[in-house]
Amino acid sequence: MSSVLRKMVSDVRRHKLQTAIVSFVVFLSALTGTLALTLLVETDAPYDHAFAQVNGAHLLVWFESSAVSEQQVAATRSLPPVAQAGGPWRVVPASITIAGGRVRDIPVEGRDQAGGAIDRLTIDGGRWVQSNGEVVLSRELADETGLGVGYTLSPASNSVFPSLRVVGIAVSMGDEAAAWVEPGQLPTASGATAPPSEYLMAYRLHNASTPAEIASAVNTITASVRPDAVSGTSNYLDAKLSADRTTAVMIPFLLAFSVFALVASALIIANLVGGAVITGTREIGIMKSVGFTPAQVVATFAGRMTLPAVAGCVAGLPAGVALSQPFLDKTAHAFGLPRTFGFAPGVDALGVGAILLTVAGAALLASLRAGRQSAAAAIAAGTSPAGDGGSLQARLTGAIPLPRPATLGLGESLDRPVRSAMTIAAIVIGVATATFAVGLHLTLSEVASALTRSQQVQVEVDRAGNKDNAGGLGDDQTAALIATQRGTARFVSIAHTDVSVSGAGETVPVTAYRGDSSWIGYVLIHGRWFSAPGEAVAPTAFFTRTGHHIGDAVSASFFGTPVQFTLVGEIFDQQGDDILLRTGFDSLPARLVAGSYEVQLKPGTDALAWASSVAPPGSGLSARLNNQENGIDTAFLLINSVLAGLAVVLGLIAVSGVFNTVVLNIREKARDFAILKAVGMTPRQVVTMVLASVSVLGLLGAFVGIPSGIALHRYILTVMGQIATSTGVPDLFFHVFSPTLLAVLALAGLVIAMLGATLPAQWAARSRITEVLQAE
Amino acid sequence: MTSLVELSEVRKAYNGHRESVALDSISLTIAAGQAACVMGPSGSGKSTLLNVIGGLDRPSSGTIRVAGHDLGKMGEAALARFRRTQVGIVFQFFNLLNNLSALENAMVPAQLAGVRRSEARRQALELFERLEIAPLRDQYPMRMSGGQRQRVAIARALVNNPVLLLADEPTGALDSHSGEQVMTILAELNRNGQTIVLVTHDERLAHANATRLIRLVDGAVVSDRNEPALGMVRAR
Repeated sequence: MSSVLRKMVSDVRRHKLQTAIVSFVVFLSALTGTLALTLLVETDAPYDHAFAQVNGAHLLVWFESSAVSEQQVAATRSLPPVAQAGGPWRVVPASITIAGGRVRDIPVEGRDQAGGAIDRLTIDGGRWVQSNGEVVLSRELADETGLGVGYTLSPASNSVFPSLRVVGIAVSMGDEAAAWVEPGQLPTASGATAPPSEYLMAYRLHNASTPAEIASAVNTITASVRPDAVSGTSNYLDAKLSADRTTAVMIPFLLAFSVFALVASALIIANLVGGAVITGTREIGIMKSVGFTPAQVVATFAGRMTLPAVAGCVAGLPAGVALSQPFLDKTAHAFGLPRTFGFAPGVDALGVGAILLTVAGAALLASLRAGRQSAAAAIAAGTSPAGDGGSLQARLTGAIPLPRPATLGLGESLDRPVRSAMTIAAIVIGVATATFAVGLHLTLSEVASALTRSQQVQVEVDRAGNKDNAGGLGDDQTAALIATQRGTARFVSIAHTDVSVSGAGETVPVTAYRGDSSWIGYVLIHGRWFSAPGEAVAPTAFFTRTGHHIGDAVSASFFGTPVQFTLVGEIFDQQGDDILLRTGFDSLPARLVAGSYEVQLKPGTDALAWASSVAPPGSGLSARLNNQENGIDTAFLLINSVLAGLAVVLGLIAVSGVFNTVVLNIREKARDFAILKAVGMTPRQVVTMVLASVSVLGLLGAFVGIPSGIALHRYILTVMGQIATSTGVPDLFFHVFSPTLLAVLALAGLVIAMLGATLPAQWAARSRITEVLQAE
Repeated sequence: MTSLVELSEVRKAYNGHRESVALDSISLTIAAGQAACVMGPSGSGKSTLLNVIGGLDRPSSGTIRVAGHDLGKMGEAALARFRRTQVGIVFQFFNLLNNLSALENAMVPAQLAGVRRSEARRQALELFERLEIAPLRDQYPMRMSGGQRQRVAIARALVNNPVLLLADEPTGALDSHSGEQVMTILAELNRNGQTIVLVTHDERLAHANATRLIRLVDGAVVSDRNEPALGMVRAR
């Protein structure tokens, strides 16, 4: 072993604390970098990855079993557009009883295996059905009902199924069914008592990259059977668009955090390595005096830093990959996709390589300077006490009426300007991350509240779905029933229709309200809610698509009758593609009939009891409780959890940056601490002094970090709004930083500084006076 | 005559590959007002003795009482308060804080004891006048001569009016003229009643200034006798 290598290895062993710090910081950096990069790459196209993994169907087609035979459906496999096909599988509606005694109708599919050539199902828990009496639930149904493996799926009184034991949970990409049973479990398809059923076919097409190609395949399939045989279709492009749009929301902040993590890591590593070389200057002098060449000195020091850095990377990379898996699981869950193991080896290796390069580069630069010094100069520089006079900062802080240990600490907080600046930068990143994470969390809560409008509307009553029910209540009767119901505070009646608007490119859905609707909770981005006949409000997409502005008059056609709306407000609205208008009944030239009602209850009213009273079974009405939970998009939860994870890791990196700085400072100032202790500074006063010195860094970090976090919050939120849903963002969503919250966030800088400094401060307090002073 | 310092069977050993004994069962007392000079060759345990008396280090066994305080029963914080209020320490290499001015250095022990800044400044300035270094009050240590620095260190050691002044080779880093001046200051302090324990290996200075000579060899007291001092007065 060469003398350089031997010295390198012995140094690594001898400087245990330094080795541990380098390893730990690099470990955290590699972990964060890998986590962020893996998420960045893997959440870029989760739908595509999952689709490829299960050989997903481009097209699903449902056929009425009363109109077509199983053989005729199977024959569609050989049609020209079809490359591969799965099925036919029979789908039968089933009524089940869920929590609270409510009844739900779900499609149950008969399928003998989860696998197959295409449209494979992914078992998410338990196993596939093996005999009658067993059922596998979709993940969505399991989440909604709380049923899991081992539970019983209870039939409603009119169900064609018996009680079924849940043996597995599965994820299907096409949302083709809510549950699967053995084909033999399904009731017979023919006969007088046979329930209505459908055949489902899954196709992979030769050409399926555009809606037009898929539409052409649908036409070919439809034409091959009786005209009324096809009851429904679903294609992968719609699902992919929805999933991609949501994942696109995450890209901006994942990118931002990846950059944050790498910058913070680079700063801390450079600080750490530079500091280690400075404290090792005397040793460098000794090495040179015994015959090490400058190149050997540099190689020894660079190696001494790189060896633990490699160890940190080796541990950090798999840890980052492992830590990213729960987030990827959540991503898959959020989009109803099968879980996959996500790992981006190329990009992750690149990230880790960048970290190692930073370590080696910083070590090289710092040790080059020491390597150039003469042996005697290096020994002298490393032995003599630092400093030859007082700083302005020390003089100013000395006059502050605080205990002397505190003013001593405050006075020396910026003694090493470069080191202090790098530490402050790490704290800035930690505080900015915390600010951004808290801000986005609060904004997403505001968004969820704005989308559900649960504070304004507690119950939605629907009678539109009961038009076949001859005994159902009419619009006026329903309105009267709601108005007289105990607990009703106010309500609006709602009708849906369409108008044609030039420039919109399609018919525009119109939601019309009868009665005062200004209270129903849509958040305004610009303008005001409509208040007079002929006025309307619309979401951002309507304005973008049609080129209209607030105050413009929009000419439209209502089933051939010209109608004009004046746009008075832009609202935050996330329904469909957001091309819609909201207006009053009296803005349309027809007598509209309301199909649904939004109701605000008086405070203290039991919403469930109110709903049961208005819409008892058989009344022809259905009432849905409008809880905020209903509207919280799982993507929001995902974003929150990813943010929280990254914020914690970046916070830890900032803490370790402070820790490293304090360790270096304490090592350099060991003599000063020993002197102060010799003249009577107590251990507690030593700790106070150290904490005071870093509190300045923490406060400066907060001072810069909070506005940076707020600016980032505003920027990313705007980008997310544009990318995800092409919507403007109401001011309300930006103004989530209350003075109290800002004060708490300012404390975050202090907390990071204190957490990083407490342990080394205690080491300083425990140091032996005589050992230090005699070593002079 | 009251005993200010009492050592009983004090032993100090360092554990390395082989145990090294720095102080070997030392028992002695030092009366208030004495100027005791501890002498001996290098490695005889002089500085270690001073360190354990000053509460800078703890003995391996035995008891030490200084001004009625049993140092062995004190925790780190109590020892720090003891060092701050009961003893003043002057080191061979001054051990001043380079980023503080001369006056600020001298004020530190008082400020650590909770004395108001203005009062600490008044006390330190008074000492600077006595030690004839008042013009240096705003100077920084690295720009002062060794003798000047040692006088600042003496001012710092005295700022809290300690009952015992410990000086470890106070002239060891000074030229002979500066050394004489420092010893004159210590002798003057002793004449005014200040108890001093001084470590030196300079026979001439010891004989000229001490009221008592304690010789150590290999951690043990080999002689302990009163001296007719020229500069310092005998214990009253």
